[in-house]
Amino acid sequence: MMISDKLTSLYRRCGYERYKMGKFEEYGLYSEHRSFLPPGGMITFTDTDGRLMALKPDVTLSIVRNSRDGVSAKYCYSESVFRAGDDGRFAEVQQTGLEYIGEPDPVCVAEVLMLAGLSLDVISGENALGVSHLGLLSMTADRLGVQGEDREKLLYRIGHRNAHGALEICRAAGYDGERLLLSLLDADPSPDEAEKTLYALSDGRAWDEVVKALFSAIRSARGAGFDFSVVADAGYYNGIVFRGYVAGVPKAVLSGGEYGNLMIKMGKKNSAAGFAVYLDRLPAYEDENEEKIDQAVIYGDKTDPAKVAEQMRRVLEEGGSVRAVRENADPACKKTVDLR
Amino acid sequence: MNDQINIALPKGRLGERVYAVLCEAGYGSADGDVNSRKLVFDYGGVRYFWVKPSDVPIYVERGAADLGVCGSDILLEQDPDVYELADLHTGVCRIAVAAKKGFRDDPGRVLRVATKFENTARRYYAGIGRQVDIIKLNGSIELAPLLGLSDVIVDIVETGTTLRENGLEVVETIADVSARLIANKSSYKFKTGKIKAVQASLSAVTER
Repeated sequence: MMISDKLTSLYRRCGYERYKMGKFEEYGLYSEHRSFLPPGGMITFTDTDGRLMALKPDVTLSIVRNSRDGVSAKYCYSESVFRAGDDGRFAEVQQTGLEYIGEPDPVCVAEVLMLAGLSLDVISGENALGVSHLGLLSMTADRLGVQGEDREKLLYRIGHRNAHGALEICRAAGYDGERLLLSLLDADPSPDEAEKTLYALSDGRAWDEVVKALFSAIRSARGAGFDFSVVADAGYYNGIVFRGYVAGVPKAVLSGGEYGNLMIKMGKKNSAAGFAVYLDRLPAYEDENEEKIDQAVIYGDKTDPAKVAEQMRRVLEEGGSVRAVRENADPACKKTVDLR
Repeated sequence: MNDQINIALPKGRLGERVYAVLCEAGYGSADGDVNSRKLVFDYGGVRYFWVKPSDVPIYVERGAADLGVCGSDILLEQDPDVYELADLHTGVCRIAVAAKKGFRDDPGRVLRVATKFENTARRYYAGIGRQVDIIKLNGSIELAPLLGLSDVIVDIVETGTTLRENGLEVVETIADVSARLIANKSSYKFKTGKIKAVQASLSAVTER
């Protein structure tokens, strides 16, 4: 079974309905929310009625647009999207993921995070899921007195674990943020240790509430840990954010979070959380242990075609899988029946 | 997963200086393969690669190297998806706008800018709202204003001697530059202890 099939099967076993969509949509949907999409353009064309269309570069925006206020929904998908790849050229990319859309609900966020962790387990046993909270980032920037353009720079540098650069910005704003920033960036990722560190940095109830929500979410995914360098666009995300890695793959293979601000931007009243798995970043996402065909039916020039068909039908009716193979071919099946 | 740490070093003076710091921090030996023409050599649990300075972020971003050292000018230009763990306070210089002595910018004209730092120059001028014509060159940038190819250049300035000798002067500093220790984001997750140890040892030597 391919990894994408294993992932969607996992999500469906948790009650996520399969979301199927067309290959293209109106360009306007994507152009209004360009910064929500990965960098790089999209492939556009003019439809026969003059409307500008785009081959879909993302699935989430489409799901959000079609969601209805006041109605909770859980969707999973495995779709081709068309976007610029890591080499800057357009490519068809397989994107698998899930979305929860509905009332803000910590249980649903925990479920999304749990499934993110299990998704990484499906890809590789050696994985890491880093989790942070945009509220924490925002409160940290406030405490450091950093506003406006400098705030964007600060978040960028936190995202690059650039402590020396982040401290420069704080000092320019007249604050010595060394203890706060270094404690957050260097925090041991394990939930127990990180939680202690974060409570020790508390400056009040708002901070404590975010820390509580953060660690409640982190503990719902086995092996997840705190990572202050996980940042995301605050114009779209508003709570828990996370990124997943597997050993041997240089870039994040999974990313997601709570994106209530995207919902607001799109005029929706619900909140939302979800993630996408970037299967194109895996070296080869075909499962090496793909199940073999149950039976190979070997035939030659003189074999009666009806007999081959009859044998195949028998296996199929018993629920098995079967492949007709010409003599001397390598059947790579569990069992062979020779009709020559 | 392989526990070995792979470090990409920039060929040239900066790389040699940084390797000397790594030796001082206990991660190399001055008597070893550094003086040979080998592009790859091992010391203890560390494998070193000598690569073109502008390629260091690519090796690190793509995971061929766990760690790398490169100038902040290259990071500014390429904006790679890597962690920038430390300022090594070596290879110090600046990236600046320079022009012929006495040059006066005419805001009524598009400014012609010769540079190999295309993205940095474009971002800088967009930030100050100046319309520019970027001319991408790969070397001998100082020649461009002398031959009338450009009005100004955006380039690395160390001592300013080359500029002075060619009748040029710094008009504006865009950013201070120094060597940075960078890390692959995924490697950082799985080799955290070793990477932090290299980072701490290097910082201890460079911040003395």
